[in-house]
Amino acid sequence: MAAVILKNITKAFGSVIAVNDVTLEIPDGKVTALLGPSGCGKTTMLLMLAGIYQPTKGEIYFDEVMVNGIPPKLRNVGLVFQSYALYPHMTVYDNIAFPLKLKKVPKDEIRARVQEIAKIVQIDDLLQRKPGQISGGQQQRVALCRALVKNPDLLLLDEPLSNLDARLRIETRAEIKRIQQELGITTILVTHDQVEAVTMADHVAVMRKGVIQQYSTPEDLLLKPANMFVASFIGDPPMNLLETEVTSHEGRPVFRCGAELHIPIPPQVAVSLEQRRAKEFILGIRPEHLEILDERQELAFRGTVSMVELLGRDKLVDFRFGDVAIRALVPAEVNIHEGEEKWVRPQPHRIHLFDKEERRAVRFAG
Amino acid sequence: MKRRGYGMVFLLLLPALLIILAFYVVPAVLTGTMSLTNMDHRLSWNFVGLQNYKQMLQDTILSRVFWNTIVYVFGTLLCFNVTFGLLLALATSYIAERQGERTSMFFRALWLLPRFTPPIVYGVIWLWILDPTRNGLLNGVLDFFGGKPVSWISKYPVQVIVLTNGVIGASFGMILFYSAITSISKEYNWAAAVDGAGWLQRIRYVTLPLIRWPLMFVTAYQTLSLLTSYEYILIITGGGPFYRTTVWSLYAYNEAFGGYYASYRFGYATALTLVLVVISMVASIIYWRVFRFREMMSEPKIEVI
Repeated sequence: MAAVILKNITKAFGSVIAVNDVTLEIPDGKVTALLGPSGCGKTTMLLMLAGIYQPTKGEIYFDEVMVNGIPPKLRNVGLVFQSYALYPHMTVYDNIAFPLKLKKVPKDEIRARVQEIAKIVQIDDLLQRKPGQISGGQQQRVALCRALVKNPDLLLLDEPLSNLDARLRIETRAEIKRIQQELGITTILVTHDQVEAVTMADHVAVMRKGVIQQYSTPEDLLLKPANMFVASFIGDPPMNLLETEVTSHEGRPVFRCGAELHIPIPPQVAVSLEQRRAKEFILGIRPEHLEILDERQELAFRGTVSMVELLGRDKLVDFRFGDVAIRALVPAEVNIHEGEEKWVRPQPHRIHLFDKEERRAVRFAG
Repeated sequence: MKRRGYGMVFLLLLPALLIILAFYVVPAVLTGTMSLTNMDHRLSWNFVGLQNYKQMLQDTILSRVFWNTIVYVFGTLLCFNVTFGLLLALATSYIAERQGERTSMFFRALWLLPRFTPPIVYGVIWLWILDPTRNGLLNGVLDFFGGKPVSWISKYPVQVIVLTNGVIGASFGMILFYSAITSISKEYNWAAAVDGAGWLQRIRYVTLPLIRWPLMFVTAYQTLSLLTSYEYILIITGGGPFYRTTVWSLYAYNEAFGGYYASYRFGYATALTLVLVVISMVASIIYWRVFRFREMMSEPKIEVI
């Protein structure tokens, strides 16, 4: 097992910079996710950790050892590709045994270790098949076995669930987590799927255009997004983001969004905003942090329901204020219909403000 | 209406049918018939039954020719058309990865040059390279370093015909193997690298098994084409010295059109070519069975997911 440290890693392909000055500390024995939209450089990062790409600049350490220039075969890394890359001409057994065969491990030991890992991953009945004769989910497990059989210090997973159907995805997610905990192996997971990252990882690094946007626990990603990109990328349905101006309306401090929407500012937020020069921000409120009330209450604002959408356990409720729209997420049982007048109240400590120019989160007490 | 439709179909097929008839069916029948005559330069159809085939059994040169053919075909195949073609494909695909597709294409084009060259020109170039005097390229170089001229062709005739045919033949395998190698998903090689394979092991355990079909196809196809090829041998060694490099097809050619020992024995020559057709068919059937080409027909030809 190993902790991984990346120091100012940059990778350029010609004039294209895939990874730009990334510094990360990945803790030993935990699952860390690299999360971002496609083309953000996350797979490039993974291939640099595996030793397939060499960084253009910067250093990679496994524990205290700098591994720049060390070829893949000497890094003791297990890698599961998005396509699994199982050798089609070998049986499942030979696929899993391949890394050990190359290490010239004695045949008996290979047999024992393949069977052991196949049992943990629960594919011991498939060993004599060819990859073309088993399902996608089973191929995924075989690829995982092949990565784990050599007892790697580091397990790298590239979009491990993206080729699986929805139900299998949930199963495999839990399975990978179980195996990871059973073996206590440092795992780095690359994904574009926030649910995958948030459910599987202890820490998540959100990437965009080769730059780390935020590196924190999944909870902090949701509750304390560092900038507008993270705020809009994480969370489903996405956060309401509104251009706003801090002003007063009927003698009270409000966020004015467009001509018709005035959101009362909670007193603790108002206090810290008074000290700021800027009056224009981007206001962010997650749909699940909006309460819908039948009567007027402190800090609530009035709106007309423009659309209701049932999403299984929840209902998505749209309010329209001139050219500004806000969405709220409420439990499916709530009785609400289009055209009704309701009161909406944001949870005071769940209000996010972002700098209008730099798009960074504005931190304030509260 | 229907009848007219059929007439139309026949009319449209007619040119192709005529061509097949004139250039395939008629010559085949003529060859078969001719092999039963002792036709010579007088071109008279003088039927002698199976006389030519009996003569073949007594032809003392023929067993020598047979073994020449085996050595020539499989020597060229194993040294050049498959092995060297594969090496070129591996090398140029490596160059493509490192230096870009353009550089790689340049080298492949270089190896294709002999194919574009007219056979006579190609043959004459080799005659110049291998010339026994110091005016030849090789002997010129030897001479420059103080060596004595070697008469390459009479000293190493078999090696010469293998080499000269191989240099042309390798490009066919190169093209097919290159396209097969580059269509292998990169992830297989990456996976193998992470699994601990060096470059040689990656070729052995990943690349070669994945280009199995093109490898077997080139082997079979090139066997058949080498069995019937003789033009470069004719130009460079003429089959000599004393039958050392006379292969079956060249022997038949010389019997018919007069090499330096025989002339215009059309009857015997056609019998020889018919036997060569049978040999080719037997080789095809063996390859079909051994390489299990039936599977290839039902699967994608390059195993890539």
